[in-house]
Amino acid sequence: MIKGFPCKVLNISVSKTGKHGHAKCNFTATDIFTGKKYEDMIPSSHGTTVPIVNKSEWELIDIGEEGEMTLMDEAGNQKTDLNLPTFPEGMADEIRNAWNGGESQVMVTVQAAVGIEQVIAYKKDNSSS
Amino acid sequence: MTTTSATTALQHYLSSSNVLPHVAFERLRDQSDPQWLLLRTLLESTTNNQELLFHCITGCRQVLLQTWSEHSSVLLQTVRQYFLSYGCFHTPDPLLRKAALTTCVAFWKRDWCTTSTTTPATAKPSEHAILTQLQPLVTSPILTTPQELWQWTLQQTTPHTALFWTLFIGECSGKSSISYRLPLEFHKAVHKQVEQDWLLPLLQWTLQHCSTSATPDTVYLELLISILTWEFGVTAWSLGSLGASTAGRTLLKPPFAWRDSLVAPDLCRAVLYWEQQSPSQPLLRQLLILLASLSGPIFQSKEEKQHYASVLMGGAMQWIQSLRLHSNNHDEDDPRLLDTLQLVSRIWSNFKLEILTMLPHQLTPLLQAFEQTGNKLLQAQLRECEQVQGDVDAMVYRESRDEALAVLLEGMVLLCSDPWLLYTGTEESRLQVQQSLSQLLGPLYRGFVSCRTRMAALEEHYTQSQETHLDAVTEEIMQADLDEELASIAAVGRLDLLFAIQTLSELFHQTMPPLEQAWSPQQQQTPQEVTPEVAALLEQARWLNLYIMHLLTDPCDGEDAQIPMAVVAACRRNPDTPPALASAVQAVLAFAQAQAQQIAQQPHNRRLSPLLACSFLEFMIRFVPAYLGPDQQWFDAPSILQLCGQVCLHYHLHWPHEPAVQEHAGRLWRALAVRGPHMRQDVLKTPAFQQLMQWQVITLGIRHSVTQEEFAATVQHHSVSLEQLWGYHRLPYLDKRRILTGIILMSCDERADQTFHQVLSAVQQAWQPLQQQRETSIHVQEQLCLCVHALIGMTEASEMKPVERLPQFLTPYLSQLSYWMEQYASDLTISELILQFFRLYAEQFIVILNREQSLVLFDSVAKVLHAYAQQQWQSRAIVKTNSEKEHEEEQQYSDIVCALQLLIQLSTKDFVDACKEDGVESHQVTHLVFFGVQQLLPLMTQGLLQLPTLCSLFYELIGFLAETYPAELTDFLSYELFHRGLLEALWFGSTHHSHQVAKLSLYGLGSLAKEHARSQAWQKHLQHCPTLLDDCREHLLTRVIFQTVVTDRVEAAGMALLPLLAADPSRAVFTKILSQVSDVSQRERLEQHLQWLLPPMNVALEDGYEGRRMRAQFRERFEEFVQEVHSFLVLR
Repeated sequence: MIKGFPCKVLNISVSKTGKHGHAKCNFTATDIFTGKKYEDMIPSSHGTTVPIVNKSEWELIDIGEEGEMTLMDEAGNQKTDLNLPTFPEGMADEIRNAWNGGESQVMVTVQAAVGIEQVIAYKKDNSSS
Repeated sequence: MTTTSATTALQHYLSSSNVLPHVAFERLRDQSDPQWLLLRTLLESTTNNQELLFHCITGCRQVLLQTWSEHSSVLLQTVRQYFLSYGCFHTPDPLLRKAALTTCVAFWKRDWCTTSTTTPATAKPSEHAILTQLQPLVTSPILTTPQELWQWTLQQTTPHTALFWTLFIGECSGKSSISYRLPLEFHKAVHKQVEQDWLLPLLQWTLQHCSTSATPDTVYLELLISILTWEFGVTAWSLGSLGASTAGRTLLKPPFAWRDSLVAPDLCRAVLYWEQQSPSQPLLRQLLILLASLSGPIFQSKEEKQHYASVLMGGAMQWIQSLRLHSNNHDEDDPRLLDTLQLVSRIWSNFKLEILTMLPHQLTPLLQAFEQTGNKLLQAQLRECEQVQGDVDAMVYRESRDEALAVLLEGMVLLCSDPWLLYTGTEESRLQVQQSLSQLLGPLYRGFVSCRTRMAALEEHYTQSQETHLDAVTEEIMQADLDEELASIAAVGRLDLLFAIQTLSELFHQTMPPLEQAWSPQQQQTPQEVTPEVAALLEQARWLNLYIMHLLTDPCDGEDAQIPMAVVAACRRNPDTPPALASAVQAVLAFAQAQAQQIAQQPHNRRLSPLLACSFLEFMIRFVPAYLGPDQQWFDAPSILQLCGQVCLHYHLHWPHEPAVQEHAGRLWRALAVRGPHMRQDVLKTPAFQQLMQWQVITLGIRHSVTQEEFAATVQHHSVSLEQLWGYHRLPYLDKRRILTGIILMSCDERADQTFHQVLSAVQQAWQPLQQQRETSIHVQEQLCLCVHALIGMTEASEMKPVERLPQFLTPYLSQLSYWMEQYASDLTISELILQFFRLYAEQFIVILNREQSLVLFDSVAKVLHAYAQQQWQSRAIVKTNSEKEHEEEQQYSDIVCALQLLIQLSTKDFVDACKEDGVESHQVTHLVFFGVQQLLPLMTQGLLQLPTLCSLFYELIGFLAETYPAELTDFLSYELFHRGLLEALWFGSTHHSHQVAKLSLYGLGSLAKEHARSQAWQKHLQHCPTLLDDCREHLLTRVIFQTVVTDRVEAAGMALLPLLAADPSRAVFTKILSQVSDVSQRERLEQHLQWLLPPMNVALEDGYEGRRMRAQFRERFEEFVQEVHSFLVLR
């Protein structure tokens, strides 16, 4: 977690302040939901918190006018509390187009962390058609 | 034409050219100034425009040199004479005088060696007008030969003649000049003739002129200096000296014939006298330094040398005394001081103790004066540093004083490390000189140590208070400079070791109490923060530690650490030295222990310095292996080893997040383990090592991602402090891997078998979760990371004996790793780690692998490379590198480096043979390597090949493959990869600045061509591009052989050219190259040399005696060919 946001670390470099200073870690990371870049510097002796990130696969059943999705997992459980993603740009349209094509199933990957859920990927599944 | 018309015309040309004036001048020069505008402007000039006249003179020089053969000798000689008169008599302007004489000198050089001239003797009709204009301005008679010029010189009284000759010597010592557009052999011939016939008369003439005046004119001194610094033939034209001149920096070795002029003490006395008369003249001091640099055959006997040295030493002493008179302190920047120190240093390096000890009455006062000067400089430096409160950038004279101190130190090191002190002369005389040196120079050690340490503390105080911290790179550079200086100072300290140790101990005991007080928790006013005062104390302690380390030990990278000879000798000479030494070492170790204990109590205290910890560990790494040998009597080895181990444990437990400290601690364990069986035995017995072993075994297989509760549950059955275990568990995998290497090396002896097997079973246990769980998950990923680190740690212990035990243990893991590579090829961290493991495994053990192990390796590597190439290389985009970030950039391609290294190891002969014997055909192995090359070739763009490590590894691989498997490689690669990938890479490599890369490329190219000459192997590629062979030949001749770059790769270029010529009888490429040479005589000579070079090709490639003989003959001829061609062919 960097500055309260769940992030994926891109780079860690170690530096120190002054000749006799203790090591510090410089993190460069991106928010796993918004893609926004964050940087942070903390003493290397400090601990940090790590978000628990879960990913699950859902089949797309329906998309509403406002972008609200109906999803279903392998066990048949339905999920209706997610909208089409706003990040990355254009993915919402791609999912809608894939869904409107109607030739194959559309599977989406839902990522959940720190109480936020969001679709982060999709794929067309031709196996069942 | 009126008298001002040329000037007007020139100015009109310059203003109407619509470009900047200098561009217009350049254009006029390039067009060879057909109307003589430049020269006429000079002849007709009434202007005082210095800039215009200067450009006219230099323009004339360039134009005439370019068009020399187009003019008659009458005109050329008249112009030359005009410039001589202009420079010597007509212009009062020094800049114009110098420009005119430089031009005249170039014209003289152009004709200096000419025996038969191609220029017509009589003037052409087109030259009459300009000649008419020139002749009234020229003094007659016109000088036509060097002899006439010399006769004229002898009659002159003007000092400008000396300037002419100074410029002439400078021009002739130049190795080439593009403005002459003449081959190298011209410059060589002039250089040789001037050296043989003109230097000595000039020297005598100059000395005579100097002797006739009370103080010689500057121009004569300059001439004398330029004669003395002349680079003589052998060194001037050797390959190594093609760069900058080394004149003035090294000892001079003039020929024997010069001795009558130079080896004259009166000359030195005269220079000293002149210097006394005009102390502000730096040339006189420079001249005396050059006279002090005379060496070689010019001296006939030792006595003569001694007499000469005596005069010089007297002079040096005189200078030092005069300096003392003129300045009581060295607060001002006095150039005489630096020159004086340089003179003394030069005397010492030239005459050495062998001669100097014959002059004790002069040596002693000179040494005393040297020591006093050094101390004064140091005091002045410290005083100024104190005045500016540590802001060293504000010190006005810091740099000049530092320069003087560096010269002083260099001189002292030359004396202290003179082999005479160790090997020559009688024992008694050596001892006497040693004592005298230590007595006279020893005190300077104290000056250096105390002043430098105090200054470092002040500087750190200032830096900390201003928060102006240096970046890591600058810090590293400064550390390297510091190490060099400390090593030099240590050489002085070892002259009187006891005194040096006592000095350091005293300072150490002064520094320790306040620092320990600063560390203790109750004394902290502002808890845990580093105040400027504490930073200064820490820096002071670090410097003192560095001084002790350098005094007692020498760096021993890659060798067995030994006690320095000077320390052994000092301890033998003085029985008080060993106890003092032991006590100083104890003090350092106790200090290290004190800081480590503080770390255990308060690991987050910012006043505890990781850098200081590193310097303590560095001391241990150098000291312990050198001093705690089996026969040593000075130290209590078990307690020192326990102390070192204990300190490391504290660092491992409480500072796992300090990478530099952990790296040093890992190095210490390794250094102890490789020192020998006695050391290993002693370390194994220490409780510290046993503790380390226990922690390592318990925590080796536990992931960092386990929670504290899970961790406690896993280790609960061990009777070890949970807190300590958790501390050790936090160590990064990389550092644990280093420790594992140390433990394995430590337990490799037979009697430590149990420890060794304990470690092996810990590694096996770490693997267990991976054998049970074959699915990928975040935990599996981390466990895998941990396990590969552990396997790499084991591989890095290949120094152990018997080493076969390691591949025996590791081989079963190879197929498992290839399975995991297939699973995680897209994860760069894991896939690179696995590649790194395979590289290390192949590198360390390939020579000892048996057939079964070889087969497993072959099979696993095939899978690993396929999986990795598919995931990582096929979609890789390579961008051109930025040279500033070369190092960082190279790290981004560490996987390619790793793969290259792995392929190089796999292609070695041992491995191929081992596989062949066991039913696997060697071509299967080579195909695996070719597959790797096939994947890598498209990635290796010219941008990527700028990265040095990548480049050399890549050429090592393809050079080796092309030489060993030319037929298979040619056949395996597609046309695109063969031409655009392999051949173009070899062409690029053949012109590379690194001669190793170039040789590998050229030998590779030669082998491929040889294969074609034998079996027409290139046929399938020639169908796509019929001119491929011609392209290779043309590239080789024009880009390599006819370029100066060939000098360090002559043989390889020849061996590449021979098969390329043999592969195809067509000589079209020669015709093409010859047609590009515009000069007819050069073209004819080149053609003749090419004809002479070529042997009967069909024989030259045969294997038998005749073939070998022809190749040897070709090699010799080719070398001669290159030398000849480079002498006459002018390259643009």
